[in-house]
Amino acid sequence: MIKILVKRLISLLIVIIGVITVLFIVNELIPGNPLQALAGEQIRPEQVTVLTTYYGLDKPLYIRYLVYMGNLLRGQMGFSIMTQRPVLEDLRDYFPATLELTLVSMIAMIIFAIPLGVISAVYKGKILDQISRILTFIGVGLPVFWFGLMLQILLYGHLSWLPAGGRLASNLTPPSGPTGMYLIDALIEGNLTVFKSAAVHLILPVSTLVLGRIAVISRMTRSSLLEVLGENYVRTARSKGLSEVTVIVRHALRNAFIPILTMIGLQFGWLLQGTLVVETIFSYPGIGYYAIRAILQKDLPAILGVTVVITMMFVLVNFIVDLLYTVVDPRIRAI
Amino acid sequence: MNESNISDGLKKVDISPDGTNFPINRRKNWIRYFKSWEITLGFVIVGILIVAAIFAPWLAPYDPLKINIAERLKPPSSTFLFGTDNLGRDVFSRIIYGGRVSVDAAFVVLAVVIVIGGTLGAISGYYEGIIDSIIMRVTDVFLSFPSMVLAMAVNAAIGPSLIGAFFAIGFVWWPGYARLIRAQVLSVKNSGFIDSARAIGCKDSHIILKHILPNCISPIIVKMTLDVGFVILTMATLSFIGLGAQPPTPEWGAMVTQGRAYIISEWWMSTFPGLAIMISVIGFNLFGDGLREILDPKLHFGEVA
Repeated sequence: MIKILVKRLISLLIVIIGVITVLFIVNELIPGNPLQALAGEQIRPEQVTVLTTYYGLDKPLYIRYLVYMGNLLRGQMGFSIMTQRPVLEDLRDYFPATLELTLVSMIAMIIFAIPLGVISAVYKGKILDQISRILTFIGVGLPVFWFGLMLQILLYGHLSWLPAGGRLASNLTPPSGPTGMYLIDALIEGNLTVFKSAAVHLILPVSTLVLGRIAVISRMTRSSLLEVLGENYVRTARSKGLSEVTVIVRHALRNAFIPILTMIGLQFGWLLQGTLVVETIFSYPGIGYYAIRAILQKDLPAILGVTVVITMMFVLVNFIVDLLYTVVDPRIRAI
Repeated sequence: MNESNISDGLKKVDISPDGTNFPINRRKNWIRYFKSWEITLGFVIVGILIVAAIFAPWLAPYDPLKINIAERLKPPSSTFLFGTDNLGRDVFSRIIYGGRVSVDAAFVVLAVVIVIGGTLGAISGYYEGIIDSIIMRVTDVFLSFPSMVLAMAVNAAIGPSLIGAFFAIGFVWWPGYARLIRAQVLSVKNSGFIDSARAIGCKDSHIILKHILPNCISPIIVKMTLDVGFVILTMATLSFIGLGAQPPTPEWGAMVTQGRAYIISEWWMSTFPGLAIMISVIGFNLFGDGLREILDPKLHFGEVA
């Protein structure tokens, strides 16, 4: 277990250094001063020069690179040119929102996809299975940004069932809990109005992120379950006279779970990517929303900060998946 | 499954994967592929898309860039099949021309990707050793990170333009190909015919280009076809964000963005380009799946795999 942890940490380090290096080089290739872009016409050339020196943008690339790396080691991420605040503070504000969105999406995905996959495996070839098959093709091809807009027109524009975007109704004050995730903080405070509002605001972004994925995951659950259902031990379990539910849940699903788990882990990266677009559509103040603004304004410190956080989350989730393997499959525990 | 066929074993394999007997006849096999509606649908969609892209000037009823304020925001009708946008341009014509942009994007990106990934993957697989480890560590970095973020950052750095998006997508996409081609080269490298080529004194470059690559081509083609859909999707996403294609270029993702401001009442501006993206991606996926079935030697009837 410690071996896996050390391996993951080393790979995390390599990936973070690699990605930062790539971003630094790419950003250097094209000239263009982010300060000028930010300030537009209203800023005098002298002011640009002063600010350029202030942000250290006049230093050669390798100096800036080394300074950034040094600061990162000390837990600093520099100042965002866009918000004029330390990147770390920005991330601290925006990150919980994205974490909440991603976690709720993950849970929704698992709750819907796995039972659906099991049902289509059990009723293989029946109507429901056929429908899920067609939905999978659509789910793979669905452009998330467009699907989000369509849900927005329908459920907000025409039916007015759900809010258009944001995290909370504008007349409510956000809960001041420790996690920054409104659902949890509201529960800690015992404020059900806030909880309800936060939950309602999550419905559209979560559905946009997850609906296409559910089709894909349930399909993969189906195929890995079908593979297992042909095994001898399943036949043995059946011939012992166990009920079909026991056979599927305790014998088949448990053995089919490793590939399903791997896949769910992989989906996490997809969900994180999806938040970039989804948060933009629903004006949901998370790091995706922040990242897109930073990218469009070429705010390198902010882009780097977001990148580091996303990479860390990505690697962390892979590590958690590795841990879960050992829970699901005792044979792996020995390693 | 038929017993006698199994005993025939390697001499004559004429059992299709689903166990039915099958005559060794290529032409009939081709027909068989089209009995599956998925493959047929994939071929039809891809066919329509490519024909529309090539013949866009003849198929589009209007000029996709011509502004006609008098006809702005007209709902779909027989004159304007998919309605008109806020500048009075015909949405249907713009979608047809948008197909051109998407098909171009797919070709350029995949060409970039195959050149970078192919070169690095072939070198990596052929020489192994230190070069191999370095190249593989670099691909590790790229693959263990959500590629969209990197593509956006690269696109923004190059500047929001169609060309910028091509290179941004190519830049994050090559590692998958480097991996695939490396694996293929490794599997072919130790075959007898490579040893023979080496024995008669062929140069490394000749061996890689003439002997190894032609033998790993079919999985690469399959991966490329499957990726066309995702290139289109990524391209559209970049354009939607405001990177990628810039107005007035008729690009599907950019068209969805332009329609956003009008989405509640003038729904057709965003809806149709989005449908076009979705249908093309589905089409290329089905097409790729079909091609895999046709090209994958293990599924070939009448040949010993």
